[in-house]
Amino acid sequence: MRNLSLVTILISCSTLLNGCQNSQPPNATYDLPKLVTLLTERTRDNLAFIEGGTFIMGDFGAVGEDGVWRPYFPPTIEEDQPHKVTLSSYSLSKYKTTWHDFDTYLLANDLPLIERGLSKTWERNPFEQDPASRLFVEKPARVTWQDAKNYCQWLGSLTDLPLDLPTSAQWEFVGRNRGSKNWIYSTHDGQPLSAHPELSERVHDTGEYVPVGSRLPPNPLGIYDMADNGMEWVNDWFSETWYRENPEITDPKGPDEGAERIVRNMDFSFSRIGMPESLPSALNEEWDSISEYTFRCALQSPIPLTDSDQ
Amino acid sequence: MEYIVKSGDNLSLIARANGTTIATLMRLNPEIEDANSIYPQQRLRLPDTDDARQTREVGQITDCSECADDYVDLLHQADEAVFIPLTAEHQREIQQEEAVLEQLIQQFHSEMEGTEESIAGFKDSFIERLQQERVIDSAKPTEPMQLTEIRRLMGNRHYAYVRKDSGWRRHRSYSIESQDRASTKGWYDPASGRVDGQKLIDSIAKDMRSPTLKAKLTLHSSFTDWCLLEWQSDPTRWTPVDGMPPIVIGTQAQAMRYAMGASLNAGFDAKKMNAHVAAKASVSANLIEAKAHAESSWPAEEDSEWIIRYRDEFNSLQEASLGKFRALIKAELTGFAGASALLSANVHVDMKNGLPQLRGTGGSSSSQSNDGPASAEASAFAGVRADGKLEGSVEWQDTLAEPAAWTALCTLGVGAGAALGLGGEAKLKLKWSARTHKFYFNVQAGLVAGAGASGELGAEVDAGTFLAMVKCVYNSLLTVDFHKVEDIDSDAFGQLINFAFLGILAGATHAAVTVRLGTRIAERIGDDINRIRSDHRSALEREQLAITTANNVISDLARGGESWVRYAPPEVKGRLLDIFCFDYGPSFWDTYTMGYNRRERAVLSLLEVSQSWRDYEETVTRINPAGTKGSFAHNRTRLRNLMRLFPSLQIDRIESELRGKRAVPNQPVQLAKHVQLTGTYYA
Repeated sequence: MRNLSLVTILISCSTLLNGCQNSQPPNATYDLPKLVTLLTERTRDNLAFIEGGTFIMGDFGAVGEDGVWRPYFPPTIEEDQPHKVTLSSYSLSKYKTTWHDFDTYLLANDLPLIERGLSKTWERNPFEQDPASRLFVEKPARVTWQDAKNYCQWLGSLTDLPLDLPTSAQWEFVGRNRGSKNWIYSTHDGQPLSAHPELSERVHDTGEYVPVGSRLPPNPLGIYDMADNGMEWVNDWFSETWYRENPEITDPKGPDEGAERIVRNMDFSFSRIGMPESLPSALNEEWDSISEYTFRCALQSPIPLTDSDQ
Repeated sequence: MEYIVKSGDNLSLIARANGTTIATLMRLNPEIEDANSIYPQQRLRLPDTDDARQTREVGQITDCSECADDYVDLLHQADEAVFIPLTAEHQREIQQEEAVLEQLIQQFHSEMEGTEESIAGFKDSFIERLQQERVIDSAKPTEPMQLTEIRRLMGNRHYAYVRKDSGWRRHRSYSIESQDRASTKGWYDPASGRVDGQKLIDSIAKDMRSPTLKAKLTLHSSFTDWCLLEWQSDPTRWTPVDGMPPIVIGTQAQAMRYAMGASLNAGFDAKKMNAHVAAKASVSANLIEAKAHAESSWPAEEDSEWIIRYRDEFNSLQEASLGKFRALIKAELTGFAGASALLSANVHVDMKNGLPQLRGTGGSSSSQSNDGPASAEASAFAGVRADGKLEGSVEWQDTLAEPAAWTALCTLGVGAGAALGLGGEAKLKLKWSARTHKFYFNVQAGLVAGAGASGELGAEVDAGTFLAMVKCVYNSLLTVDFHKVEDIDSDAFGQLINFAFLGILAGATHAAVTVRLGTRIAERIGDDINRIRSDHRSALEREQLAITTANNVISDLARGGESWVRYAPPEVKGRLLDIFCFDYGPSFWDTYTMGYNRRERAVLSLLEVSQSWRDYEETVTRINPAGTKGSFAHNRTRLRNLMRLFPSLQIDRIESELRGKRAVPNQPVQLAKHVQLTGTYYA
């Protein structure tokens, strides 16, 4: 067993080399029209109507026993001053977009199914069935901002609905249960995960990405995965100052241009950062670490979808 | 000397770069109306440099425009050490200005006699008044008082204030180079610290070569401190009880004329196990800045332990000692009268179960003091414009290092004052912030409990001591169930693992890795690690990754105390073993040696440094790409099957040595007995 000849080694080596590359022709085996129909139905069913309102977005802080207001997270308060935002009603997908959804989109549009490494990309099969894989069909799709945007807009044109990525304000409004100040964290009850040892243990045990909606309870608006299962793209360009310049605004869409898109679902319910398309890799600065995050789509219409629409 | 203003310059920068002050620049460049508005390409006159001055006579007039005036008085500006001769007209101007300010000061004094409530009511209107009088410029928060201290040598008033932007600054000045040089002229006696007024006038007149300066000066003896711009007390060390590190306290006051003294006291209650540091700067008079600082480390070395809480297999809360730990607190209180009036701050450092609990307490009600005409206390934290600063660091003693030394794990200070002012009890927790891409030791006040208003005190981990933190955390994990540590949040733990993993994968020392901390790259390290694995797609590539990683592990372990692996939690070691074990074929084949090949050596070295059976078991359980829990027996078999007979037997040896061994934190960790692993040793 342990003392093999070089020949055996070479044979097993070449077998495996070939084994890695046998990809099946994608379109042949799938009933695409049916997949797309299922996807649009699923998309409609998953939309939760969110009644608009006015709230204080950003690190709203609290007033201490001494009567002085202070932010919850002083290190970045300069970037995220609380600001008043009014939102029209909209609908948001209860679940993040899964690999199943996203692969359907790629196949339907004849787009390449690729997997990205650091120094290279390669073809992959759609609808990965291995639950351990990061591409498992039920796990949230992690893609570039542009891919996420294209996906939502494609679904929009398919269904004739104004589907798009949610804005940063829309995300936070939902993450905080309609902008509540009791939701310092975007969990189901606004408490940090550590307040629920069994949940926090489950998160710790099951790794970063799990099938959508499978781990933490939904928030009171019925939305899943607002506090775990990966950071999330939203529509806005990132700007440190935009909200300072627009302290009171209705349906904010962020600055008109920028270099980084906002990512949500981090430490606190109001936390956000900007991420560029790519960064130099920590392992080798000559490689690009392309920014890929999870996302969900929003229906940018104040009128809820009703059964009659379907 | 001339300076051409560049884009982005401001007077303050130019002044600092040229070793002078804004006031000097304003005086030399009377065309500048507003210190905040200078423009690129503008030419500024700078004061002569020291080198240039040495070629001239001492005390030469620096801006001699017209020297034929009749002077009736000398004005000494304290913070720039210059004399300015005054004509009768200037003297009148300044007297008027003094009178206005004096009135303000007196008003301030009398209001300070009142109660806290009345002072609070008075404050707003007084600040407004000060703004009208251009004493406070709200546009310059760092430079609250637009005043400069002067002494006119005529008359009985020795200390007075004038506005920085009044007319006097446009006059020519006479620089006092130094006491030594001045003493050669005979007007200053360094021994007694006295100034001879007549000799000074003669000296100035002679230097000006225009002997029209005629003044009879009455010099008060207290003028001897003319050069004393800043006063600082010798640090006082005070040891409350034997064995406790002394608390070092000191005070500092600038322009001390009216700062009747800053005081600081500290107390220690041995029974209640808490230390009490109170700093009080009673700025009794006016418009002065005063500082008080205190430094104390807590707790004392003898009984310092960080208690880490975890849940055992029956889910009941347990506590384990983390090791030696202390918090260093530095309090510095700055305040200026007139706006925030007076300040005091109390900082409690309370020890319960070895866990330092920081609590800020607000100032008490106003009280009379004997220090000056009036004194009151206001909370530094609650005060409107008091700049109380509290800094500290969380320190950890590396028990593996010889000699044992304290390492600052991270620095308190991010909003420390704010959070401490909240008054809630706090507990320490390690957090990772995706927003700032940094680790924080968070003192959470009420945030977790969610009760009432609360805040969070971040303590940012210094990149340079990142490895110390990793060690510290690992030390805390030695005896506890790795999954249920309540003092580390899961994001922070995941990120810790990522950094350790990166350190080995990239073969980088901790310094090289931590340089990147604080950048956005930090957030993407987890992704990068997963991608580098999938980047190695073919068997050959994976083989190469395994060999490279094995080499990195071996050289990492050779780094001793700087090693990542040695302090890596099982999640890291399990993932590394998984990389070694990529089995496209039935055996490791990189070098077909008689003894050990590199991967076999790396596997054994990695298992050798297990701190305890628990560590070993967790490591083997986690041999998979994500480092999550799997089957111990299955993974162990996998590992053994991949190794040839002789090396695989070493696993049995390691197991028998580790069995029953429990690591004891707070003491030098007992490593498994080291065995020289060379090919020939077992051949």
